[in-house]
Amino acid sequence: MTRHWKPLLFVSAFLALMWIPAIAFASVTGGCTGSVVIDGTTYGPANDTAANPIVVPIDKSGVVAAWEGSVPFANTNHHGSLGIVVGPWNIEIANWGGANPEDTRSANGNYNLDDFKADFPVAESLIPRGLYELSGTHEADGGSCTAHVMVKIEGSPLSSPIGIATVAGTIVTGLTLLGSAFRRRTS
Amino acid sequence: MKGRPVLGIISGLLFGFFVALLLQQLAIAPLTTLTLIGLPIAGVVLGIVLSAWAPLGRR
Repeated sequence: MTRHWKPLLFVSAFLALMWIPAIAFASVTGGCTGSVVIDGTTYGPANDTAANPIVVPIDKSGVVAAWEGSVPFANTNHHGSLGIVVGPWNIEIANWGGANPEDTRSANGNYNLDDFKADFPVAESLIPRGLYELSGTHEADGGSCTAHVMVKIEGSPLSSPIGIATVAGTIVTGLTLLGSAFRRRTS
Repeated sequence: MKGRPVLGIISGLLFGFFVALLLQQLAIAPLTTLTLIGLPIAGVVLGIVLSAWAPLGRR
């Protein structure tokens, strides 16, 4: 019986090791700073782990995100982008750029989350809840920055069809995986 | 192989993928390379191990 635990121990160790790099990210490089206030809570570069994400209350209406950011270098001829990390890919969701002859090095503004929901290509109830890693870059004549933050779209996974399908898929494939552990009949 | 290796590999791959999605939906881990690629690979390994071991059913 003990010999059966060796492969399971190997798999468990592999799974445990996989989580170690997910615990911490280097959030901002290049000296850029920024923050956002959502629903009374201030978030910044420290919100870069799964345990400490930027929380977006998607079910609330009228929520405004007040943001500000700055760069420590000459910001002429700047450009940048922001994307969602999905596996090895980075899906771009926003980009910016310009000559910026005045060399403006900071900016701020307000973003209404209702606009985000209206601009989203599917209905609000279909917006997938859960945790997302956002990755961004900003480059200019004087330097460049990269940033990673975690964003949690608040809500139960069972409140969206994708969440229900995910739970059902996990149960069905888990039971099927268990089925592979049954001995075949030998005649 | 005493169990069903083809079933184990396919279901392990899909199980790993769905677990990665579930972890994302439950806000435990985002869809990084480690979860989206690593968990299905771990699922395939688990499927092979389970089908080779085949601890369930008649002996």
